[in-house]
Amino acid sequence: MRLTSKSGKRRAWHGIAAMLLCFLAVPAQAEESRASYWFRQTVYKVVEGPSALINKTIDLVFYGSTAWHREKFFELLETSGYELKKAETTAGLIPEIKFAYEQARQLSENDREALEEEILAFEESDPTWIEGKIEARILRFLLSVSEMGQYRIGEFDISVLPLPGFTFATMPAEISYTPDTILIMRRMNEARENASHAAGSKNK
Amino acid sequence: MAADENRVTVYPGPTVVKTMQMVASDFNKKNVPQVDVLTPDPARLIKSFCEAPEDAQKLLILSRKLTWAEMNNCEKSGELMGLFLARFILAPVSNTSAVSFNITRKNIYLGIADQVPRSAVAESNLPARQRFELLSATSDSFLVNPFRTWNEIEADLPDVEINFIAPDGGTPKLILDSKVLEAGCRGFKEVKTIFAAEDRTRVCTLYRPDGRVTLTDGWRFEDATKDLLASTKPTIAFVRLDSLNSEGITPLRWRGVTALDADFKPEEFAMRQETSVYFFSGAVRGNESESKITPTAAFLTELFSESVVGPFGAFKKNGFYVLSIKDRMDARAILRRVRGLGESGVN
Repeated sequence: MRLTSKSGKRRAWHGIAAMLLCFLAVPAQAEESRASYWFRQTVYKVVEGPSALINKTIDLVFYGSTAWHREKFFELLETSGYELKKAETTAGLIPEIKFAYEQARQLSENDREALEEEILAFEESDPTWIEGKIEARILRFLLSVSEMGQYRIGEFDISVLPLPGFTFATMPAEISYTPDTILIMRRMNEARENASHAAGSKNK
Repeated sequence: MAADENRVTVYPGPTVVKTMQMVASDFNKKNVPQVDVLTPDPARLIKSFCEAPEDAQKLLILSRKLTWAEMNNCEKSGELMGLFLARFILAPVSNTSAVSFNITRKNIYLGIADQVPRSAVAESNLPARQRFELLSATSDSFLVNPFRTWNEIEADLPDVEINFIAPDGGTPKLILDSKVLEAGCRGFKEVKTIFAAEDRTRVCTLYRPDGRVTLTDGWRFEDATKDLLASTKPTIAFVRLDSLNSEGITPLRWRGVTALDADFKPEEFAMRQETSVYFFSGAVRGNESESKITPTAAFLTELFSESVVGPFGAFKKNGFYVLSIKDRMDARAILRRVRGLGESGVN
């Protein structure tokens, strides 16, 4: 059979899928050959594999054994003086989840001390947990930058999936943070984002 | 090495002066390197230590940790090292058994702060009419503290007038400000919107001026217990652990336990500061060509002996809480490593 048109291709795939379903629907015979059994298992794995991975990932992020840690991590980011600005998700075989944070307050010496203790407790809550170690590193980095005084991290992006990631930009700390300055900075950021979105949609 | 190579100068904080004088006096009786315990102005203590010559045999002993900025400024004159010696813990108590309740940092902040967040007043146990009048009178985020009894803050607290004895300086004030007031205030949304750290600290740590907070000398904190016992009104204060057994004092529950309970864990207790010793590693290591132990190293070895930091040592006798045996052993191991000795204490 020669497949020329798109609808023809689609019909052929439908046929293959129907055959597969019929094959899978037939109850396994006691005399089923080894090859047939292997084929059936492979098909199951191919069909179920990605969905199981996605479910596992979602469970891990929102409901799984690390949900407490994840919640605590975001709580500690807020304690570090940052607040969530936006969240981005991308669907895919392994979904991407990214959160953008911006500085909402400076840390006092006492805030830093309290945060240091909380990070230590967070890290020690599960010493075998690699993601937790990476997240504790991120928190410690934010803490150490806040101690330096010359620079600050105004904004940063945290990606949770597929693996924890951290993107940031430093800026001089000697800006007077009056409410007007903060408002101007926020408006400038919004304008910059709008401009980049507009450029993105033009390119499409 | 400096000319006075057989002398060590100790710069102690006001809270540890008495303990250090006791330790130095015992040490001077039996050892060749002599220890001088200075009593500099507390405000200039760290500066005096850091400004002394780099190769001088000197130790700084504080009832708290140095901040990052203080460490950074001091490290300009060499590699500065710090080790924990003991813990300075304060516990909440009252002068009457009528005031024995479970208290939180948030309760204390709302009880003694000059101004309180609007949301705290809105959620308080104040009579509905008074609450409405207070909130409708102004749109400010912070209101002048309206609470007169603990019960007005939270329904679970007793209907007893708010009276508090607070330290006016020193480590006790540092503990009250950092571990109680700022920690209790941090969670309110009005506080979270304040960007500048110093503005937030000011809002959180300013005591109310209406006479409900009595100040006591923070540098001589044993006075807090005397002031508490002398008070005729039901009053709350923070005292050192060694004052807890005094007659007429009732420990308050903090997360369900008092500091006298068997399940009290000092390392997890919020109101604590780690008493620390700071020294320049060069003063401990000394001259590599000379094998003899430096005076600083000799005194540090004494400082970490069980007779000083152990459960019956000088620190314990002066109201400090001793570190666990593991922490004490770890500190000795670090000291041996700094001196260039192996874990066993030999080259």
